[in-house]
Amino acid sequence: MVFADSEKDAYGHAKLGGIGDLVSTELKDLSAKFNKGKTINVINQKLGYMVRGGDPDALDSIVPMAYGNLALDLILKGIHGRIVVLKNGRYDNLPVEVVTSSKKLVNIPEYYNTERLRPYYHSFEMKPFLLMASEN
Amino acid sequence: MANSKSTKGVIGILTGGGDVPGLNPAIRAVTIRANREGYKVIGLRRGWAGILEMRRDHKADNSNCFEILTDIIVNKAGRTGGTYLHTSRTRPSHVRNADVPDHLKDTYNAEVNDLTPEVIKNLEWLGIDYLIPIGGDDTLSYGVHLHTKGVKVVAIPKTMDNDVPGTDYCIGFSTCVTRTIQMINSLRTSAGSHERLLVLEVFGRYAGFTAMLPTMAGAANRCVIPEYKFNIEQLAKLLVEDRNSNPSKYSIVLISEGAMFDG
Repeated sequence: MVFADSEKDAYGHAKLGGIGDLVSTELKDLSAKFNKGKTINVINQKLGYMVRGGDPDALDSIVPMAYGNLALDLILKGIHGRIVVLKNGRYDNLPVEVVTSSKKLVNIPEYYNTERLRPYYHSFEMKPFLLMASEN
Repeated sequence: MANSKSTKGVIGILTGGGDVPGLNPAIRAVTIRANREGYKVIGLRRGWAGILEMRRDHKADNSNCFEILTDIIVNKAGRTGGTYLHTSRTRPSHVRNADVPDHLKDTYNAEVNDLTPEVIKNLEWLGIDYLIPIGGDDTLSYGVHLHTKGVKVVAIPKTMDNDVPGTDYCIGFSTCVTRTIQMINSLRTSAGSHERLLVLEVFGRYAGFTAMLPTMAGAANRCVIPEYKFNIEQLAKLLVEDRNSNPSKYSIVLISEGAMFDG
């Protein structure tokens, strides 16, 4: 991975950043090979913190409201050691240890077309709401 | 500190890690519901830093560490992005010597210190019965640690990366995807005007969800993600084909910040 900074935080992560710059340079250099000898220029833009900005949209107004209330539902019953979740379109809760039990990553064989370098666009029936971003 | 005669209990709430839109609505929902049900809510400031750095002294200025939350405060704050309680990436079980609070430096003077005993004492001093940490897998991993030490934890998942295990949805993901698509739509006109390739690097750490869904929604032609090492020549060939088959003569690729070259 390409890192913007080698210093690691308390959780062991170094700050990622810079892969876009490398890809842009390589794409420009390689473009002529696939474009009859004529170079294509590249606009390189890091979206970065801009995607964190502004007011919450509909889902990020509704789901946090529900999660907050769900947390209180549990507390009022004296239940703890849980994490509130969305599962199969329903609000639910799981043991909090699930957070550290595994990693949630894109399922490549099911969702990513490695020949075309983009997602697959097939077999949507009964797929979860957020597709590959849902918990499998 | 809590007056148990007038409240059913005390809930502590904090937001840790990266800020996202959606945190304030969650803080608002917890506060209003808790107050309705007769619970006091204490907002712990700056992720795990506030509950770590506070002083167990009624005369101390702990305004940077915690505050009582009310309907009036959260109704206003709940409309906006960011987090009213602020945040940090503090990990109380791994505090470097330089970051140990001054009043604890005599007791904790190793190179890296576990200040969990202080966190637990602080929670007890505040009278907190239940703790609601809102965060991604890092912030919540410390919540799991406190749970193993007997603290009553109910966690809420948050990350624009949407990669907290166990849940389909983490707070912040939708707005991130919304903003990504909006910004790409702002940028594509320049790409088209100049007939160029448009390369966009996006946050997502080790997971490719933040690149995959906007791409599927039509914001980009291709995406490369951390979960699959990509061949740059293959990408170049595809993007040039996309550009040349586009009447507007441009193409777009989304690159997750954690993506890696093949070789």
